[in-house]
Amino acid sequence: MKHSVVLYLLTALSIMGCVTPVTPQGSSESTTGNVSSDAVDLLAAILGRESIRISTDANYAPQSFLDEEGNFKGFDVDVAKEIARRLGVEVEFVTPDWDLITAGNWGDQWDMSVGSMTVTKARQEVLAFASPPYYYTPAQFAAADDSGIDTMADLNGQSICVGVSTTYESWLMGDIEGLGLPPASLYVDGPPKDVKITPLSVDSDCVQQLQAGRDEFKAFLSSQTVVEAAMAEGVTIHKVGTPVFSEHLAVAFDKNSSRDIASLVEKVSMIIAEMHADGTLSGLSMQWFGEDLTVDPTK
Amino acid sequence: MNSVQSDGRFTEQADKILASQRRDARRFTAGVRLTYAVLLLVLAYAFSGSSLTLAGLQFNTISLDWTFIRSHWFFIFNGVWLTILLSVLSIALATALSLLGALGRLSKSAPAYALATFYISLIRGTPLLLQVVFFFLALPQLGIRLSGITAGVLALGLNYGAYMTEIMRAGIQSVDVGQREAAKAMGMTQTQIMRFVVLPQALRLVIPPIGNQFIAMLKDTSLISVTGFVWELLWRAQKQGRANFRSLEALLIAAIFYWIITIIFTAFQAQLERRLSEGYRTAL
Repeated sequence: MKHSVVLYLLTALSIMGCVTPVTPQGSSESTTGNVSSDAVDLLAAILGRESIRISTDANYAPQSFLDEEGNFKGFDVDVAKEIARRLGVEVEFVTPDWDLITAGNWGDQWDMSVGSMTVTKARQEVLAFASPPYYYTPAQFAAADDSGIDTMADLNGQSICVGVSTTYESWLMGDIEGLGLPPASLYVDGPPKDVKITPLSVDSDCVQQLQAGRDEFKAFLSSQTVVEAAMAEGVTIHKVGTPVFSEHLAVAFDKNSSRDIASLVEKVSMIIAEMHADGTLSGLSMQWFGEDLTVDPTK
Repeated sequence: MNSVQSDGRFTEQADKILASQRRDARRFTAGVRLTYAVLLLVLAYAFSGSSLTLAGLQFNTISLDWTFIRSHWFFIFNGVWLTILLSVLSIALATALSLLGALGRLSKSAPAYALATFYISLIRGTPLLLQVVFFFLALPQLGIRLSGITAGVLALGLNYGAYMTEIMRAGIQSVDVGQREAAKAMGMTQTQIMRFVVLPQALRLVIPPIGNQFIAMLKDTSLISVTGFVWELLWRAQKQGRANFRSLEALLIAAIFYWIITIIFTAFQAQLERRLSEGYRTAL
């Protein structure tokens, strides 16, 4: 008799396991608790539920990372919070992997991305971007100090690491057209010759592999901000050459959202233009990067 | 034994044998503990960061950033609760599914049998990691938007359920056929026989292997970290590691906690197994 009680308990528990929505700290429950779920307009839905869900890839300091207490920190995080503040809503961060964000088709699991995403032609097929961009970063090669790679010419024929689905990967593969960057932001004629590309899941994995002394590749291409953050952490790498291209980084939205995103894109674009004009973005850039990266280098 | 021997001499000899057996057992236990201690010390030394020169050869050990570990271990540790919760929910779902699966496997109804075997074949024929990603990415396109946790629990539960079906089936089949016949003779229906006669007896046999599956599950919950939405142990370690360029330290912290919870639950399981076998122990 006692045994069958245990069995019922197990069964009951399993059924509960299927239907009870469990919301732990930091995760998002997307289907429930939505005040105006029938609203067709995404902006109206966000204002209705008084909260906006923003994706952030917490693998990148100083753009986005978690501090010791698990709080989101960084330039992107502060920009996201400010946008939410100006929208008059609470911000809720969600943390899908980077390639999920760039792939579009978010399934309404979050409303927008404030994740240092470069506006590219390929991405524009699935994502909409706020205009203007909120800042600009140069793409920079870096190599291990003991690699013997010091100039751009030394990179020819080398194995080079990049984060998967990044613009650096596309550029190295020679997909300049897919990037669709304005000509003025391309600083060199093209990628180094005969390079072998090693894509890892995030840029900082490239840094750490070099740091660990692996020699499958000796150099990597990433944002100048990532290179500088690594050097500040004492990783023994150095910059190789000058920046190769500049990226326009903008807030992104899912074109396949089940709701209409047009008014949200317009509203956020307006807020970003204001944040440029009133110096908020410059101030945040100085705070996190020590330099003002919010001025369009192509103008 | 020779019946001429006196009772006194017989017990004396038996006592000696028993004492020597106990001594051997004690020595063995002490030896095991000593070796454990040595292995732990070697492991700790391997991560001490010091280098040792022996006979002209230099041995380097792995050096860790203790400042990072001190400031970040607690954030990573907090993933333990979610890891355990995920395991509990998933094993509960898996247990229910495996019971249904086993009943289907043993069923005389063709569709039920086919459904159960098809489920087992499909799930066992595809990788768990793929299933987790599939649930998370594919279902939203059908308008079913599951949270990372629900998708993860569903994937893990379905997967383990398929494997555990065999455990359940073995448990059910191990109940003596005479039990069923007796119940039938008493006029019980098939459902009553299952519920009141077979399953209660089968449960005693399947709980230890389910415990085993639970312990395996504790580690497989780490696969849910690929969804990015579930802040369990591995996810926390990876985020802190990558953003600070300290993945080695962060992963080590997570590894230690996985190991500790596994040790704890293994001890629980051993206890449970002992309790369940009480009354069934064969006389030595």
